[in-house]
Amino acid sequence: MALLRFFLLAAFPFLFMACSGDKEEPHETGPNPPKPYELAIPATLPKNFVIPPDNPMTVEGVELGRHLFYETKLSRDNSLSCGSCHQQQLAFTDAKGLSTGINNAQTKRGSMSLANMLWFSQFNWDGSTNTLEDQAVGPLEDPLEMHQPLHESVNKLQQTQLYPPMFEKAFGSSTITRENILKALAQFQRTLISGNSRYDGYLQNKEVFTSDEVEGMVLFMTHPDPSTGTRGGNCGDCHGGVLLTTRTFHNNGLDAQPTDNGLGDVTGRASDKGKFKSPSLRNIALTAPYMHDGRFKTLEEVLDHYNEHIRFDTPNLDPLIIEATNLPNGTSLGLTIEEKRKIIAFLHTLTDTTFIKDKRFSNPFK
Amino acid sequence: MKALLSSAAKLLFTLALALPLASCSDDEDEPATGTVQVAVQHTVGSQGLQADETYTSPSGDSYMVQKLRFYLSNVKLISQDGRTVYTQPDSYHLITLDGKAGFSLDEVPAAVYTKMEFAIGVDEARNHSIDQFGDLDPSNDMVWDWTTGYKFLSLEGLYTGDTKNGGLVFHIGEDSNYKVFTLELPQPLDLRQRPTGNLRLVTDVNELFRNPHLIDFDELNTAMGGENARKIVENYSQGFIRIESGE
Repeated sequence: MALLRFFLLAAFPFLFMACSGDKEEPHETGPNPPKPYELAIPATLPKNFVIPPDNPMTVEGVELGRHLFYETKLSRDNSLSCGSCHQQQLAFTDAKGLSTGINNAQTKRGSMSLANMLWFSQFNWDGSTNTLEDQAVGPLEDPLEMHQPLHESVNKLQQTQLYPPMFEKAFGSSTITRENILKALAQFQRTLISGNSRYDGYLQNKEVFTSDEVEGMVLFMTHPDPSTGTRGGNCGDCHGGVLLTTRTFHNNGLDAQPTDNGLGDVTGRASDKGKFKSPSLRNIALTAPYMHDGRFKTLEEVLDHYNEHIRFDTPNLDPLIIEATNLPNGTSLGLTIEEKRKIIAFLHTLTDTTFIKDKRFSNPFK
Repeated sequence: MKALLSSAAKLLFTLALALPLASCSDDEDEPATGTVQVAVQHTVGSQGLQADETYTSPSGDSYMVQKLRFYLSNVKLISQDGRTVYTQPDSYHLITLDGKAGFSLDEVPAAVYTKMEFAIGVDEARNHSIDQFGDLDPSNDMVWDWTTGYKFLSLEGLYTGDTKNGGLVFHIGEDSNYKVFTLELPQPLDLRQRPTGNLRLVTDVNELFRNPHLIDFDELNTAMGGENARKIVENYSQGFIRIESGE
């Protein structure tokens, strides 16, 4: 994927440099083509990302997507929208351990934050889809979630006053299609960018951290090495980089025998059993409870897990966890209570209060 | 979808290359240039390296590799007479076991090249900035933090030793470990005769653990910096990467 991104980035300028002077526009659709949506990328977030060529972002497409995201008609009993489990004030999560669908059906995992999905190419806890366009099909149609086949959603939306003209503006046709519902939802989700936390300010020398926050940050980013006296919390191995995730999959030692195979069920490989995506920790103070099944209610419980309760007898435990100790010949991470407290202080700097209040991301029906 | 994206990217890329040629190639007397494809192949001794396969280390431990990634950067070709030096612009390649396995050197002046120079690592000028893209994506899993910079080489896996077993975690970075290699090509690469060439770089993972420091995983199975990381760097400074000509 990195290579693909590189090619795209490399190729785009050339497209526009051709001598003809023609300007490339998103696909022409009629007398009033939609306006290209200009994504504003914060200084601290990566320049590498891919917009699918067949779904260019437009102002009208994003606005339609925002309406659809908060549209309860997309659920079988008109009770739930995407926004029910992805609430803006909680960085687009729902404060539940396991999210619930219509009729209070319980799913087997927690809803994930939607911040910065623009930079991802594997979605869900188990990496089971590779584009936002495909991802939405799951929650929309799953009997345990919104439980409405997309063709039914097409019919319901087509009968409204609101949507046919919005689809016309966004996609050049008032005839609603499954593909255009998914495209619009994806366009809106790509605008959900969180890059204005105190940590972003710190990276740009605009924000001063307390000494606890600085020490917590260093511990967070460091893999411990007792041979050099280097103390570390070992978090950055999976949650490093400016997205606060390496976008990789790991078994982090929750259970001796995982009841949910995660990535293993997607790839079919025994060596992937019990692996889940390491989620971005941006806004982590807002997205409790934690882990794919929400088993930890607080950040303190999370730190205690990694520090004291790793199940070393689980299959496929990540080498980064097996070999993480602050103690010579240690068999646990070995952070002190103070060190854990400082890491949590750093985690609180990842909260982006502008993101959770941004009107552009809010429910248009309220 | 990946396949779709990939073919879309290929199409775009082809278009990008074709458009300028089609529309405005009326320059004359451009100096002749060629293209060299560089491919990287990973091995353990005489075997090809595959994730989750078991191999024997130089000290006799068995081990498997789950992840191998390193930055191959600042690639140059040096001509026989030393007068022509091709320097690839923006030359940072994250070579991985499961992903990128090569790159292309474009617009290489036609000359006879006998040496290739490159580094393992990221030079100090680029090692501490988040403001970059391509293979230096600041959100990839080679980033430590902006003080330490990037991991230059990352190897993760599992081992079974004589007395213990566990994980292998070798994360090598830090400016002082940036290592430049100058390797003789096995045979001269003559881009005057033919405008395309191939070079094959071959890594041998066992060479990370052999010489001058024989690494017994029972004693040393992780390195994040300091003396242990230095040992791995000194080991990969000789024999880890060799060049075989394509043709």
